[in-house]
Amino acid sequence: MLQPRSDAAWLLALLACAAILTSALAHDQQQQQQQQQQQLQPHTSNWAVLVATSKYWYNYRHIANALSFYRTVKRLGIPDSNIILMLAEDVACNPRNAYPGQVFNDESHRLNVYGSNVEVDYRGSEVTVENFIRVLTGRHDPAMPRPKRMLSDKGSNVLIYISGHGGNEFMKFQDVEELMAQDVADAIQQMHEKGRYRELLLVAETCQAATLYSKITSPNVLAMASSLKGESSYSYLTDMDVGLSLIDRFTWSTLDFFERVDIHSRLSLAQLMQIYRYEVLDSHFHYDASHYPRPLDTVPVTDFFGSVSSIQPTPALNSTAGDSDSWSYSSYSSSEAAQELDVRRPAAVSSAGHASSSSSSSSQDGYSDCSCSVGSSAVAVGPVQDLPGSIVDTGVYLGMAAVASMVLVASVVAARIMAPLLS
Amino acid sequence: MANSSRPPGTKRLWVISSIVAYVVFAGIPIWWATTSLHRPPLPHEAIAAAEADAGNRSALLPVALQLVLVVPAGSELPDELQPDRMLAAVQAAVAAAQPLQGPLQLSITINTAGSCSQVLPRHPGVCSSSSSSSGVCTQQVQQQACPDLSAAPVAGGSRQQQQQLDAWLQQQQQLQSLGTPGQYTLFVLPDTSSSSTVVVGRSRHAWLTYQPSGALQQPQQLLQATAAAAVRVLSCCFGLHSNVAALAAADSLPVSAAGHTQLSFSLLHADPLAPGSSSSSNKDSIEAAAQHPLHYTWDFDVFEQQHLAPIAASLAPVSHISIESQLLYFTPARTPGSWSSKHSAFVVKQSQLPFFVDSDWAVESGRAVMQHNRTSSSSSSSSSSGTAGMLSSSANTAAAAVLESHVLHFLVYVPAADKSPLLLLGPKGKVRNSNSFWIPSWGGVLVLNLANEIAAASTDTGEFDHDEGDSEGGQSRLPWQPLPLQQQHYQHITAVVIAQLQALFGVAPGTSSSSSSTEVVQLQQLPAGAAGFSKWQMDALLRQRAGADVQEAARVLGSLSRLVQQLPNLEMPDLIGQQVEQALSDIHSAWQHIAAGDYHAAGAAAAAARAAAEAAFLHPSVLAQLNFPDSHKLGVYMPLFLPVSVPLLQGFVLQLRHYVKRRREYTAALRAGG
Repeated sequence: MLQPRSDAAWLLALLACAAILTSALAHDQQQQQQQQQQQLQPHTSNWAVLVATSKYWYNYRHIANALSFYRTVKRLGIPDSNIILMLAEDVACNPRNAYPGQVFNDESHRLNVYGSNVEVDYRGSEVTVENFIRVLTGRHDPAMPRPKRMLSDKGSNVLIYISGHGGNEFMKFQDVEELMAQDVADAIQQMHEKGRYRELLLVAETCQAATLYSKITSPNVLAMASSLKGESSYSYLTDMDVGLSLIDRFTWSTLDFFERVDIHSRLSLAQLMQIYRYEVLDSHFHYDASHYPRPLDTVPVTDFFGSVSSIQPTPALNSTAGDSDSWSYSSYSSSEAAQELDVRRPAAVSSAGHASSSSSSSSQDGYSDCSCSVGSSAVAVGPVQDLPGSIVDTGVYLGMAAVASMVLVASVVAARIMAPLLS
Repeated sequence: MANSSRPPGTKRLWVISSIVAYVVFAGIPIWWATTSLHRPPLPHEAIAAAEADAGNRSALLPVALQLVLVVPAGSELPDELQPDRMLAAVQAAVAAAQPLQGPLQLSITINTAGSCSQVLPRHPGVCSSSSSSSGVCTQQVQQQACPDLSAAPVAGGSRQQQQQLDAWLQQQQQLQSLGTPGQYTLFVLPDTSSSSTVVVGRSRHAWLTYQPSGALQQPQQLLQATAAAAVRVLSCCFGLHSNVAALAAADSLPVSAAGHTQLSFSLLHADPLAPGSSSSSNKDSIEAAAQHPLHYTWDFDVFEQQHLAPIAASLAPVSHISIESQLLYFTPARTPGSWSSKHSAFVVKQSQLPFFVDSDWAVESGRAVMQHNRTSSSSSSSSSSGTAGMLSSSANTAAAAVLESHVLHFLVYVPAADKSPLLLLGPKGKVRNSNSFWIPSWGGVLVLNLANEIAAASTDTGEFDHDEGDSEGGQSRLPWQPLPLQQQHYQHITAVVIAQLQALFGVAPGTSSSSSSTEVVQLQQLPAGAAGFSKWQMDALLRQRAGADVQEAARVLGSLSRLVQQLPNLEMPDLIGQQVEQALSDIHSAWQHIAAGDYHAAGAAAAAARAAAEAAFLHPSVLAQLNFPDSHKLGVYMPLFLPVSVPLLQGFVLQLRHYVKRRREYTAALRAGG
């Protein structure tokens, strides 16, 4: 008789071999040829990519996280045109929202972070891994309108803030697909190759967030995370009116810090990083500055969270285009030493980010509802979804169909042939 | 079971084997063919060669400087001023100062009353600035007839006289078919009054004057001044402009990868409803302003045609310029300004200026309701398509579609009537030059104080220039009609825009000659005409851009090649292969043109190469999600192959065992029977 157990084991081994052979060669490790530390380009502009990856109403806090950061960077002078805001769920207009059209990030409901001035660039189902990476790498469809593109250059400081559910080396988008740590590293390496950033700060607010940037090797990249590998990242207090947590602890701490920051502030990144306490976060803050050349206590937070412009005097006019001496205010003009002034961009009048009234000691009341999957097993299986434009999945499904139909035909034929023999 | 010669069970085994063979030999190839990726073969070796080439070779276009010493008729030329000795002296000075990197060819012409003796190095390539010493270069002397330059209208140092001389010299230069890009001339002209100032003209020449009676007795002094002047003009203007070099090193020339720049003009009126200014002397106008709010507009089409089109045309070799405009009302600045009795105006201090531009102003391009998108390049045929700045070749069209153009904002800010006049202060409280400032790679801001003027003008309609707008045809302005700007405002805006554009492109005059006090000769630059940019400025930009573009194109192709080789899962359309081929051939021709010193062709080829390379790299069909780990492949194929193959192999094994069993029985029976 048949011995199913040994047969099955044999078959499995064979199949695994076949799968490994037929799949193309292993993805090469990034050549870690660290480019020689070049002189940094002058800082000319700031860009921010703020992403909330979670769908569904009960992930309200991730949307509020991103909106709070949006408000902060806008207050510190980054114009809307330089902010790419990606919100996977429109909680403001969700029918379950007791405050229609409003999103709050603290239980006093004093500040509607979904104010009249919010420009969401990617919303709902547009927030995909593909679109996120297209924003970073700049590979857009020609029809993509200008405000949805990140047009950074070698003089741009780029802030990437990403909030949602994640796990070991991945970040869940829309509950259906994953952004892998390798994707992030590849995208940033391509940004580096194409000169799309001067310095880059990646902030990850998710469970096991520190694993998200573990593969990055590009120079001038600084990364911050709310939690270490194996840790969850927790939400802050529950709001009884909305019925959900309004914000995550890491973002709450960060906003608490930025409450004290305005456009003139010289507070440094090192000071920002000192504020994160395990008693507040219930997870360990982590940062990776191994690819970042500048000492953090010399980098003002406004280098990434604000915007800088350097004002230059107009050179002497040529009185060529007609007789501009008749211009009535030319009498005011006087020769002026060419002097550069490097100061901050205008601070927004808008009120500061969130309520600092709720003291941080009350954070013990916060409850955790973080639904992260722990461990890497979730990564291994399951098809990568949503790769439009690639022939990969079409081919896979065609191949599946072809083999399946052939097996069907073959088994029918076999049954036909073998029926008289067996009978 | 009947005995037969053949062993039993073979038929079943044959059937099952054929099924397995069918699946293996037909199914797996079909699956392989349908799942394998399509990608055009890229010439990786050629790309690597081009990249190595770009790293090793100097991509700078050559510069030729001809010194023309004009000697008045009848004077004896001293030995020191013989052309070969002059050439040696100037070469030595240039080699010592090293005013530019890249190849340089020097030649000397002595022009004596219509006869020229010219000395140039026998092998132009050999005598570059790096390798030249007086002994190395063998020289050749040519005698030829040439126009008499001693009749040059050299008189005085006023601006008008200089412009006259400039035009005359340019004419002479053209007569001798000189003055192509990269070919510069330094005239040393006799004059009754000697000056130690070398003047750089609008075209590709400069001049220095000397006193013939004195200088011919003291030739050493003239020789020294000439050599110093040559070094000066090479370092400031005719060579690589130092500011452009700095900008290009930072890749912050305001030009997109596809070679496009968009000039976005916004007229911002802070508050049209503000009551009239108290400083106005005209009582009627105060009342008029109070009753009828003033809001300003501009006739941008006329402004663009008259003033901006020449600028765009002159910049065309470096960048394709497209222009858009918008009007914004109710846009108060973040820093409203405070009253200063000293200036009798509202002032914004220097420290407040970075806060002037409100990040809430909707000035970003692509937002404006009315857009004047229009190609202002020389190829006017393509502008009829309505899309901004498309080049003619298909590769560049694709590149322009993929790559956004660089936007430069020019804001003309009209303060509210009750906050007017508004002055921007510079350091130490001085009024800012032309009441404006600029921000690198972003654009410029100009404050235009209009309230009193136009309010006064509106009471007197006779002064309106009818060219400026159709709305002014009537006898009197109706209260709700906007007031257009006038010619003088357009001229002022144009002058400021030109100055700011020159600063943004890094060719602003005067900024590089800060250490001039210690020099032997002073430097003066004649301003360019309405075109905004002198020819030598365009040459410097072109020189820099061609060099940077060809190297960047090779680098981008190298990146693409490495990317493709690292990612076996990357799928690409054939278009990318074509763009890579296009870029490679353009790089090749750019190198040829650079070696030949053809500025325009080299610039065009390098720009095309860069655009094609960038478009290939940034093509949207290059999969955004590049990482496709093997664990995912296992995850994809396991659910398919496991259920399919288990019954297949099970059946095969079953039949094999069955066959072996039958065979054993058969042989046993045979043995028993036999």
